[in-house]
Amino acid sequence: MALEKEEMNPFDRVTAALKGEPTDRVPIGWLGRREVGFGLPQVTVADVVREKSGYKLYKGIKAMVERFHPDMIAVMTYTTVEAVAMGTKDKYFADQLPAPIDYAIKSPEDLEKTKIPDPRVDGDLPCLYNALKKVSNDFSGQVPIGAGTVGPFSVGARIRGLWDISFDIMRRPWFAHDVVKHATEACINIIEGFREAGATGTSSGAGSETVLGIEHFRQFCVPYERMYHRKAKKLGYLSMSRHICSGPSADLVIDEFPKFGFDNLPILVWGYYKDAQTMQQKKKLFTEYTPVVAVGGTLRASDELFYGTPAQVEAESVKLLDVCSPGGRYFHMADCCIPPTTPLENLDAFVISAKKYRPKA
Amino acid sequence: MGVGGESEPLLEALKNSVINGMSDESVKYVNDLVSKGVAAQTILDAMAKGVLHVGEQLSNKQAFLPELVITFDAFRKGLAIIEPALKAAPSQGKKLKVVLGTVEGDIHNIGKNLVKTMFEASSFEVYDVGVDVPPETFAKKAVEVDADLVGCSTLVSPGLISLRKTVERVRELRGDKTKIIIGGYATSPQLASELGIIYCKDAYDGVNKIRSVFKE
Repeated sequence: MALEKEEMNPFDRVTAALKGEPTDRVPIGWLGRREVGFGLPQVTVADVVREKSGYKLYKGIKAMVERFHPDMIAVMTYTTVEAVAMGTKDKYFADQLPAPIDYAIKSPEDLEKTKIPDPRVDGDLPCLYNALKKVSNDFSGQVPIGAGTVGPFSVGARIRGLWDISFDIMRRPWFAHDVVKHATEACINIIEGFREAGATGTSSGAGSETVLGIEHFRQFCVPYERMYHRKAKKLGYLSMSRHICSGPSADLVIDEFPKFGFDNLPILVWGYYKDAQTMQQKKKLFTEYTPVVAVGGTLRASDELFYGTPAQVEAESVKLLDVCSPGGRYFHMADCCIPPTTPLENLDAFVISAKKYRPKA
Repeated sequence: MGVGGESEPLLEALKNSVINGMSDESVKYVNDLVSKGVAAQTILDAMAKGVLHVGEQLSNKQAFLPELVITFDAFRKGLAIIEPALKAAPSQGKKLKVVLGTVEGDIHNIGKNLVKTMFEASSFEVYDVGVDVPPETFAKKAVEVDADLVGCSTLVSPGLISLRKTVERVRELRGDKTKIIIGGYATSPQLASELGIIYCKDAYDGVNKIRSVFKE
């Protein structure tokens, strides 16, 4: 089916959607992880993320943008990239992203030895930094380009280990605070470099923080995240994509998100919501804190998108749009990172269904 | 020796120390109970009540990982003291044998370790085969130990490919002799239903489902 000619460009559409103003259609959020080299023959994930020039990552992103024409681009690879640049060791798998196996910080003494990474030179960060430059060169001015980190607490958990930082929280909270503070400095240094490389939007959030109860979330996440958001604003970022990852406390901590710094930057709070109705309710809650906020993402990347047929994906997609698009402030995107082997036809169905969707009269 | 009246307050204190994650206290109470001649199994049962209590709180979103981590620490330190006595004691009935691991392609171990501790607290005999475990390893271990159950965990969706192969391979080698339970973010009740296996939403749910299935 041929799509109608569009009246707005991605910049205008994203800006309007964040402000709750009318748009010609629902904006398509970033397509997480699709860009990690998938579709490039004989290229593994490890090949992409280890290549310091960022060329393969750039080619993957370019292919993704040219196929799906999303309204946002996110330059990212894997969710331990910051920690690996700080000394955490990881393991690569053939068809998926790396995960940590040995953590950088085993004792308070290690904290002093753990460097604040420079995205231009440390670990696999140059892949992101250099890809970002190339992507900006091609698409800057056409589509908002984002690059960020998994945020202070999740980086802290990935340099210390989630189990150990949980123990620290209970038994030596001063050390847990020191780790997260160090991680905050790392996150800030990384997005400083990404801004220089051409990112206009940045991001935060991953699963480690949704294993905490509300009180610990308030103590060990909120203050550091506020520092991060404030610094992002000072660096000239125009918006923040704030991810809610699934986890035992995800339902509970969502209401704490406005304390992160909704007063600092236009913000897209995307990811896990129990269901579409809940996401719609939270959208209303968030607007009490700021006039510039939107939500997105309840289609399960590891379920419907990965396993479904294109027809099933389209049906789920339309159901989601029916519930969440009224009132605007909604970005159509999956709940979390899309598995690299997700059928492209399913992503076509996901994107096209939103592009041709028109609200019911 | 059985449980005399004087040991009851100590057992209760031990249970509470496990719930509160006070490992020094747990160790002290276990040593006190051992010195009074209380059976290792009785001591384990008291600690298990503490672990299951916090597991239930986790399931009900009244406790989270940090609370659970210190509870497990207190349990493990107490268990280390009585483990030799538990192994030496004559077996009281057949223990449920469980082979447990994270499937190939996935190295997340927190969920698997939570389940392991809850299973141990429930007096299951656990054979932890680790993370990134190939289907063949699960299946061969199930044969080697004559397992009643194989537990597979995966957080990430690509792990589901390996999980399916594991289910197939365990069935090839064990037929109906070994049941299979799955858990982790990437799994779902629908997947378990499709494969004809058991799904658990968390460690506490896993203990309850297994007890229910093996009671039948």
